[in-house]
Amino acid sequence: MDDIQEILEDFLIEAFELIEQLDQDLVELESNPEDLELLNSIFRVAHTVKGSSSFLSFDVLTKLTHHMEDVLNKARKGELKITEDVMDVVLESIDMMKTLLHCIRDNGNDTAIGMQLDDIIARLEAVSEGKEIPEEATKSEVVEKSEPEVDTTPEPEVEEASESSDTEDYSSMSDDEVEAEIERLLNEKREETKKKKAIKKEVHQEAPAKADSTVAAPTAAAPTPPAKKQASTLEQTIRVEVNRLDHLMNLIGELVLGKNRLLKIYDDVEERYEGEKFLEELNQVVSAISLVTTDLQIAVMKTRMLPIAKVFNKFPRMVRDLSRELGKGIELKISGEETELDKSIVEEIGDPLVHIIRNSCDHGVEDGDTREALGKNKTGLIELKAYNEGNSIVIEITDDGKGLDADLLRSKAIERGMISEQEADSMSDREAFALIFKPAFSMAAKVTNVSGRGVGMDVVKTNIEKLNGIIEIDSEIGKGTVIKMKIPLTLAIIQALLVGAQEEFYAIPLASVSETVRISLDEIYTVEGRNVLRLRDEVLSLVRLSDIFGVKQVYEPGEHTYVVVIGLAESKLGIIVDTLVGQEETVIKSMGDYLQGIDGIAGATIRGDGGVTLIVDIASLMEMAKGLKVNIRESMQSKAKKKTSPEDYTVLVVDDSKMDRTIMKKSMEPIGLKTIEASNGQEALTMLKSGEHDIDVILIDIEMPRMDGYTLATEIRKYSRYKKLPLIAVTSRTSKADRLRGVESGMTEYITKPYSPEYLENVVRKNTNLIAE
Amino acid sequence: MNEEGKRELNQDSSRFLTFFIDDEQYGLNISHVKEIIASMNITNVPKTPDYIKGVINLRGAVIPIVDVRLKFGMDERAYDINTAIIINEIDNVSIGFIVDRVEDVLSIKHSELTEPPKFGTNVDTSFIESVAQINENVVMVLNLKKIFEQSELVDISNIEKSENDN
Repeated sequence: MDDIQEILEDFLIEAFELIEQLDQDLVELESNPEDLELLNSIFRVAHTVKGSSSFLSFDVLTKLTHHMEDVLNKARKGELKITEDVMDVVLESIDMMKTLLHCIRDNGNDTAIGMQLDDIIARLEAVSEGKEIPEEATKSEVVEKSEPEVDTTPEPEVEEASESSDTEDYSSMSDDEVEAEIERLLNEKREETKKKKAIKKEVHQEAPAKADSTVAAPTAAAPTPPAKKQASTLEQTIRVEVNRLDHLMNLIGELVLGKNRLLKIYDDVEERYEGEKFLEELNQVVSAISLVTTDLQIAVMKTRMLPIAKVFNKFPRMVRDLSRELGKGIELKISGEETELDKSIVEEIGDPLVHIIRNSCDHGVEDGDTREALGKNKTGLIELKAYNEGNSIVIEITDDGKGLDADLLRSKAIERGMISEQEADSMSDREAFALIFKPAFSMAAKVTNVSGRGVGMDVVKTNIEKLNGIIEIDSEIGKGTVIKMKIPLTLAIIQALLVGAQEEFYAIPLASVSETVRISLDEIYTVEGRNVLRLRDEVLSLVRLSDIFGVKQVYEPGEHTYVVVIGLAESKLGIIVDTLVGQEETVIKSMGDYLQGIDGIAGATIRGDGGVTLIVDIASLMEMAKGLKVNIRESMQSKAKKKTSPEDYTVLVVDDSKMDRTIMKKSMEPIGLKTIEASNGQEALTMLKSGEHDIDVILIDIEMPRMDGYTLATEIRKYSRYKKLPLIAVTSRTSKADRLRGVESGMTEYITKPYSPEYLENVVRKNTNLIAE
Repeated sequence: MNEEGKRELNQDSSRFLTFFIDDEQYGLNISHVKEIIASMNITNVPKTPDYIKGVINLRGAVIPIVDVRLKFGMDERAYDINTAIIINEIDNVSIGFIVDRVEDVLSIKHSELTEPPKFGTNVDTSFIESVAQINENVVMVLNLKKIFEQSELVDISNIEKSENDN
């Protein structure tokens, strides 16, 4: 029983691998119908699957592959010309074969889904016999059975052979034909042996092998375009369970944490024993270990890497089908398919790409006539490109279609009530392009088979977010669209930016950080209840990390603060943090089942100093930020927002004369402000600095012992948080020069004695925004 | 080891690690207790109930810590030299409990364990599996699974709430 199970598993692994290559080969075959090497390899797949499935008695699969084999065998021998229609049938049968294989994998048999084969078999037979394909009668310019046009196989005999639809066509062959066939097979065999030999000798040139094969069989019915792809390097591989690699990765993660810890300890030791001799030795060991750990980490990461070709390979077929379905000529150009990335990411990236390419085919590329009218090449071009950029991989999908119309997108979004008109006006083109990622936002006028339901791009966004990737769209009307996705190379060990929110620290994945900026509080604006920052030509929403996580406010906010600009998928957000600590390699550790699903937290990591730091989950953080309604500027600018009644305000009266102070206090009484007194500049400054009183206005006399009013004002203005504090000079100095000096020293108002109490009252009211009723 | 084996064999009694919160003594079945550590720096985890104090790094593993006082609805108390964290493991999930003071390990005969009283204590009795009278003291044996389950329920309802908010 176990044996069978094992064989079955091997069969499935092998079959799926073969099929993956198959799609690619088939599409290539269509543009290159004479490529016998390709045909042979396709034939071998069908043959292998047929053989194994009959051994395992999967009758449905056997039957299907048997008929496929028929068709392919004929094509291989040049009895059948590969046309688009033949191809359609073959591709369809391959799809069915895939479905059956999936069914076997899931159910252990091929009958569970009850697939009906009669129709496809009838069509395969028709194709094989060169008849018109049933129900596709309109398109049957095809298959001329008596005259195979495969000009590279100059065998007249094949005509006869094609008459019989029997697979065992050797029996129906004439002696000559049998001879020829044997000769051909022998040749093939010889060629293969040579190939192997060539590999063994590590001869990387194709030329000799090629020459040999043609020389050796000039008379026989040798395949004329000789083996195109000679494998020049034999890949030596072993299959390893992904689990083992995951385990290895976990171990490396631990090692990285250990290394971080070691580095931290070394720093401490260095500080303490500076100049000691053993430090040098320790330094060498620590550096060596840190170097090796990094190399090891990269090496293990590479074992998990797969070329992105694994995903890209299915697209030629997809684009081909789509272009037939949509009746547009579309060419797909792929480059950079050898770029590698982590297995787990390769698995996630497929779906988003399918949706983007479908979109490009359906909405992007115009139909042939329109293109011609616009003076473009009749066939549309979609380029799929992958390349490395730092610690990320970039995948670019470019089409030369009609492009996105930012204005149209804006008006559509307003129409659907997704954004307000005001928002639309302040939106840059790029932000408008990003609207296509909103759920249920489809630009397609009608829902087609291919797209138009407004789901696809949402899927793209969700998947890319899951990978902590960033999406950028650039488009020009009439020229085309470029969609750029930036995805981190691996998910297990990440570079993170450590930031502090009050007394707590958090790690933000560096892949999502686009920049950090230091801003002054004055740069924060409030627009429709949102806090925003103008950063170059963009308007950025702002949130405070401590608000999101409800961290206790401990520190007095300063005049400046740090903003970490994060990007995820198509959106950006500025996060206000109190400190930037630095960059560290972090390994995401789960916090266990008990603490799962905490909003905004992706996991935890262990810092160099042994403490635990929580890693921020960017996607959910962005969600949480949407619901926040905190006016950052107000809450950060002292506690001014709490002041509603006059009693909340405090006026500091600075005058050396007790009588003057009393007069001023009396004038404040109608407003109901709280007053405190100081008898000279020095005293006033000390009171202000102590922070004991929250002072809102200062009335300053100029002539005072110890420190005069001018000096006091200058001193106060040196503190950034008192830049805006109203300072009102109340003095008997009336000359213009004195007034000028007052302004220079930073006085807000200048009142000359004698004054009416009402006048002073009004000035204070004005400066505290307590307007008299 | 030998002695322990013998005690395991003794089916009439189980061993319990006992600890104090205020003046009340509690017991935890020793088979779930992994270790006892001194209180250490705990990293606060936002958006969690009060009684979840945060997480600690225990030799490379991140372990959540619950303050039993808060969990039982008592007032928080400043940690002192006696404060200890008991690391428990159940179904491969580790969790730490902050307690005022760890006492010792008691062997309690099954016959001595009785049903918890329905009222008469200021503690939510659903966490208490049984009660034993040892000398002059009453030891309340906690049902670890109950504590876990209840917490998880709270967590899930929190998640649902925040999802609705969005």
